[in-house]
Amino acid sequence: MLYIEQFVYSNKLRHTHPLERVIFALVTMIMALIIKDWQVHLLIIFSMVILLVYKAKIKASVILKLMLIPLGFLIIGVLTIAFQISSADLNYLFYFNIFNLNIGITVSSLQTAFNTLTVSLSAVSCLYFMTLTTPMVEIIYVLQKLKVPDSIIELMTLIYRFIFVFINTAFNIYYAQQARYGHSTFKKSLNSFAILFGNLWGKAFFKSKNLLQSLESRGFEGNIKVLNPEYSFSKNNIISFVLLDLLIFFTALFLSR
Amino acid sequence: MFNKKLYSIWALLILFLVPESAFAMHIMEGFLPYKWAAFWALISLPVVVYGVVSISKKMKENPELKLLLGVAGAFAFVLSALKIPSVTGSSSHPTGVGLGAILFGPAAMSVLGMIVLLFQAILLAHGGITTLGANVFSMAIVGTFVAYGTYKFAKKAGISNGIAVFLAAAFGNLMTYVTTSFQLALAFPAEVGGVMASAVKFLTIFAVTQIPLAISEGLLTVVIFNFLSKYSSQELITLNIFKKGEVLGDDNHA
Repeated sequence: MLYIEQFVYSNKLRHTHPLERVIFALVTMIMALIIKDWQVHLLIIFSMVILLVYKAKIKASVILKLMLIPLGFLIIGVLTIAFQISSADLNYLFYFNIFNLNIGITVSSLQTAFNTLTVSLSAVSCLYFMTLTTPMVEIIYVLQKLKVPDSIIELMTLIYRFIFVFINTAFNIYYAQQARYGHSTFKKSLNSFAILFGNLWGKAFFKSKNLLQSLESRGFEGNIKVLNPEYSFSKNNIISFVLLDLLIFFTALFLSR
Repeated sequence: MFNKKLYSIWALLILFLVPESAFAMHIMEGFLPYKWAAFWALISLPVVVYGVVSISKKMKENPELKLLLGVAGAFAFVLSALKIPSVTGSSSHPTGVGLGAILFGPAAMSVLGMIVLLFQAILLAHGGITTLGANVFSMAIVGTFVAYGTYKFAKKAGISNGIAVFLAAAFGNLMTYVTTSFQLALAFPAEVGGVMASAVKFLTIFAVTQIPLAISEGLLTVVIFNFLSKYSSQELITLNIFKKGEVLGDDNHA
């Protein structure tokens, strides 16, 4: 079971129309990217967390744990932006010198780095609002509404379905191998992986062949058609989402003056 | 004295921050400024559209392919959730791009890569929606085409199949990391030296995790490929419908 999937299917916003949630999350994300003010970013993170905790009823500890996932990339990336290397003397806040090179943080690089940090965190909070309230089936439904080509929609449906067919088997084999020191050294691990892959590969082919047979016996002509549940828009939700985005927008406008 | 101290703190910090397990280098959500995010999305779009058109045609002729591609995409996703120890002692997640490119060809793999990247962003919070275009470009386009090209070129040059597979997977992986570094550098040029200086910075920092990852991915792909040509040659022949007139694998491993 994937970590995010444990929460998304039982979140309390699920009965609402997925388009509302996905569009709200994406619009807010774009606003986070365009507006360059850390206070706005804080506001976005704050509102997303409040919505997730109080409306979707997802524990704050879960959100915190998820926020830590991209941290490795974020810290390394931001530090790389912050540190400027030069043989000349830049407008350094502080620096050190090795091999006649100055390595340090300048005023403007610190600004860019800090801005990137807050933008990323606020965009990630929007992403989590979407992924923690919208299961993959609903995201696929939204993509369908947005006129994404049928072949991609079908592939996504199939891949999503097969992920859960494989992931259990894959992890069971993996743990069984680990329990037998199968991943203790690099060389052993490569071999174990080949065995895992080979077995799964055979099973995968078998499954896809079986699926094709069962589909063909039911009149498969190349298209998989799925009935979507009927969703209805809720006025209250749309109004509150629009109000929240307007609040963020006017806060940004007010702060930029 | 003061400088030395700072340097050691910086060095320690880097060591400390290098994550235990390295994912392939996907740019995280929101990291790219919106102009660059849009730019990379626009660059990737025509290639993915070309891929969709090309596989749609094949899928129509052969409905079995649709299921096979679905299985392959799920496979790539599941693989990327597992860890292999890397040559440096930390561990890394394989991407499967090299293997996919060799088995399915670059057009199909660019579409699959895009879907897998989207799934990784949504289900694993790895990568992002706004940075999807940039990640598709570096991994699913540059990665697959380089891997495929390297494989073809090495085969033509008469290099043995094992080494050709290694070179393809490792090189595809390396070029993904180089491309990502340049994407980051273009968005965040250095104050002195501009894009190139910044690219050197990103390349150096991420080399710590990405070069070992490329090597382990190369080795892993070879071992898997040997296993496949030994035990499931039948399936490999089925796969040839993707690329008519080619025989996969090599008699070296028969």
